[in-house]
Amino acid sequence: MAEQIYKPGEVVPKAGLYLVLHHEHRKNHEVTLFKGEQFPLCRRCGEEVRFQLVLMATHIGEDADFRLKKSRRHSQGRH
Amino acid sequence: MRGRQYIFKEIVKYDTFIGSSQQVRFIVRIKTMGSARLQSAVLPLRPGRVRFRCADEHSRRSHHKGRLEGGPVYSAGSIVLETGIYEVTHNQAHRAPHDVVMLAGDVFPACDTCNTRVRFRLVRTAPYIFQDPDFESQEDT
Repeated sequence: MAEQIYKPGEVVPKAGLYLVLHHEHRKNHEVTLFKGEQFPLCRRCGEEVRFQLVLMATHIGEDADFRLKKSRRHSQGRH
Repeated sequence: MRGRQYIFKEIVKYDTFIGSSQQVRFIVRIKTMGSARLQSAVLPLRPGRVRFRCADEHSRRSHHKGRLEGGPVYSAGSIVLETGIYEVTHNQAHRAPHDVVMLAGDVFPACDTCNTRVRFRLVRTAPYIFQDPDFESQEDT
């Protein structure tokens, strides 16, 4: 089954690695995104950029065994 | 001259079962310049020495596609050097290994149950999106 394609402005449904599909100016590449963030616009291809989930994983701060020790950066209000 | 006749040797392995024991037959096919000559030999092998391919081996491999095998392992308290996915292995198997996302610069935390005996193995890296030149500085917008 093909993975869903996401557009800029949509909310990231699952933390993990996403493939970024640019509009011609750059080859596809992978990035890390966290659940609840918004898929951003590309500076060059703007709203033409697309995102596809490659590998899903839980953010360490949301895991039951580590929940009390949220990682520094993510607990500083990034969403 | 025998040496000039060889182009390459091709070894074909056939697995057959005779009763409860296994016999493996190797057929050595020698291709020559003008014609093909076939030689065969029956070589009984102990079943323990023969490696069988699991029927779903391919599917299991593809499940792990893109994962680093034997990536560096870190302990609780170490600084995360690369953003990406890490496989968490807990001590005394109180929990099955699982994947988490970690950001470079964070600290690998201790586990509530196995404390600092938890280990983190790098599985796959990718920069955080807002550290990419095409997306940086949009984090707060």
